[in-house]
Amino acid sequence: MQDDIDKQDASVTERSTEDENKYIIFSLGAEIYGAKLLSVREVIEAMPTKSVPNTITSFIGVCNLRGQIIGVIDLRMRFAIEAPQAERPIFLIFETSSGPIGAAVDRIVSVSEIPEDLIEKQPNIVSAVPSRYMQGIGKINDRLVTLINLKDVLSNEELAHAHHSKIQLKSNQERSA
Amino acid sequence: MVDNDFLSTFLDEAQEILEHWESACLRLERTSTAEEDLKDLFRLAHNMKGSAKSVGLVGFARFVHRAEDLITQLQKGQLAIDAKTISILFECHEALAKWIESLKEHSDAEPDLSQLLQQLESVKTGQAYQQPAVLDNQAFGFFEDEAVAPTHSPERVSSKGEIQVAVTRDSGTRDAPKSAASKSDETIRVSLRKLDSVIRLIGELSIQQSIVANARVTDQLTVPKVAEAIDLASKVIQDLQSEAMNLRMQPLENLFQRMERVCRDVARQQSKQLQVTLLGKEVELDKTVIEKMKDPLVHILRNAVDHGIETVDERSKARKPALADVRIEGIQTATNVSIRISDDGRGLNLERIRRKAIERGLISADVSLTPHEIQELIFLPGFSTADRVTDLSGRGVGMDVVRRAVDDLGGSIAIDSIEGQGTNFLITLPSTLSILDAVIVRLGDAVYAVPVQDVEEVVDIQSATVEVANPKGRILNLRGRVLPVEHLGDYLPQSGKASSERGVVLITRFQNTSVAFQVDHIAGQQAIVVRQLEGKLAEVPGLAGATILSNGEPSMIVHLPQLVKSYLATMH
Repeated sequence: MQDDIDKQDASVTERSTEDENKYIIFSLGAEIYGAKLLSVREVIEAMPTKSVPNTITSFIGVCNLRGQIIGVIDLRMRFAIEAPQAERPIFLIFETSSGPIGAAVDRIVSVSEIPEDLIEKQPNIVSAVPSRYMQGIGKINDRLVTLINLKDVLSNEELAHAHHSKIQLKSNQERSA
Repeated sequence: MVDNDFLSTFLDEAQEILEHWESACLRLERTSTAEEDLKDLFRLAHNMKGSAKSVGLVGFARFVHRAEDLITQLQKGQLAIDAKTISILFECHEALAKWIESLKEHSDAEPDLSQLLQQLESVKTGQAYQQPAVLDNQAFGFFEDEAVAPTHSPERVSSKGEIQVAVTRDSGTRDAPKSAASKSDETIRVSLRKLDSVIRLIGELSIQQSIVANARVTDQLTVPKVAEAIDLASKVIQDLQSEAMNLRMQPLENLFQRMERVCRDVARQQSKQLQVTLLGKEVELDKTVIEKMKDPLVHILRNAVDHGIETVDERSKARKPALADVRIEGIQTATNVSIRISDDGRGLNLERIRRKAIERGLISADVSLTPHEIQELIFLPGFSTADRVTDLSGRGVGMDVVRRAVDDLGGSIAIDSIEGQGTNFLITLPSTLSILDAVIVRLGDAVYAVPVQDVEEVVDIQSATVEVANPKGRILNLRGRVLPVEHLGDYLPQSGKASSERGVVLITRFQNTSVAFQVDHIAGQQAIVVRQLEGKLAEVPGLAGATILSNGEPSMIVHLPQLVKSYLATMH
């Protein structure tokens, strides 16, 4: 039985290796970054957002995407990348286990395939991206791309923040209730 | 090998079968139509066995088969239908229900049911079976599970997927991680009638749409027929919206059945005699509301039977009928659903409640309270009436947990008890959480929705007397009542501060505290469709959800009671 499963897995991998290795390449300031293409639900032009009180500053608010309310994190702010704001930023929308969430980036550069062996998993460089979210450093036409596990960045980050507010953060008890 | 594709279908089906199983057992226990009920039980067991086999759950099927054997013997009259055999049928139900729960987590879960099987065998062969002590505990364990209210944690399952039979006394199970299954995997049973009506409306809508689309192709968008179609379409959309909301509504029947079962089990353990009357089972409530009320209601009933209902001896001394009466009633009103739970037991002992409240420092000894105020004391945190800690109720999970669950849903709970005659609980709940009547307020650049149910009163600040009380804040004198005034912007920053001279205040009350929250102005009142916030966004304090306003902009729904809680915390 175990063999069957292994075989199945193998065939699945074979079929989708191509897509698995595709990355959506985007820019934040002068640098370019990549995220797994398969993790992206859709790419849209930035739309107006409404800010949400008591959240971290990089959470720019929520937007109404075809009747769905989607929170958006500004990746540039999140990774403290200083550069003038892009004229028309782009939202990458991800589907996570706890609902959809968006990431604002400056520009989409390309969709590129980066084979597994061209990704340096433990790069010895300093990056704006915290290492726990970094998937590695890839190479496209001799240009280095920081590959980020964006889905994790977006779904695991704490958004609640109550500085300069009289409100109290929810206790663990309330969260689970 | 278990086929995962079909497993979830099986689990849904099995859960439904088990509900019928339980109600058949309950009927079997109190009626004379045993033949019909046994036939039902046999059919249910047989169906479940068949579908379990078809998805590869061999162990499950085998166990059901053993139960089926017992039912057959009962049908043939080889065994007596007595308290013992019925109780075993109940235990099988319980074991299977737990098994189903653990199968949701691990598709290969197989609990150790050897004791129950042994019991089954011994009953079948007619031998008296000595129940090992642990089995008594297992029955209690069922309640212990429930006592974890209101956090739902079905995980009494070890990592190996075995159901733990023995009761774990430590509080560790309370913090058991919630099911990893995400919200999108939840299912709901919908009546065909409702579904058909949605499909019919969508069909209607597409006809109107094609009229408009056709007119565009032929460049005749201005003909009256098109205007008609658009009018009709907007009416259909309205109907569709209300029908779609209706899909979330579930009858109270299953919830009531579970409550009846709890009464029965507690009464049996304590050798009390009672009859449960269920009324208004067909009244419908939003599925989420039902889920959240399950544990609190079970708690109320467990308390009612454990503390309220007297033993047969006590009842005969009090010249009451030996059979105690517990009544559970669902009542539909124009905007709400109420659940009334009444019993004819001994009622609340006011003197004892008062004494206890003083002992616990909840009230001071010299304060005079009306009987009703004394009754309300049981809802305070840190209050527990049980003098002795019983396995059933005295776990420190008190009525305050019930009150909190009801509050969280935007409902209310009232108690009315007459000593010696019984107790009456009336719980009023919003029938749906999806649509709310809301006040739309403006604060700086932001627009928020505030549920009308949270607002006691709206007062224009210029027409009222606002004084600076102390450096800490301002107070409002409202017809002799003195309330603290707080800027909503202090709790929901990033939205610009309201000026202190102009604006209106929303007066809200949480438990015994009223606070006036100041906003710039009220932009209107409208029915809003509530979207639950998901993921990390759900942890942002002060919000009850989000909505899309009529101009298409998203807006946050503010949860004023939580702001009052924060206000109280900053005061201390």
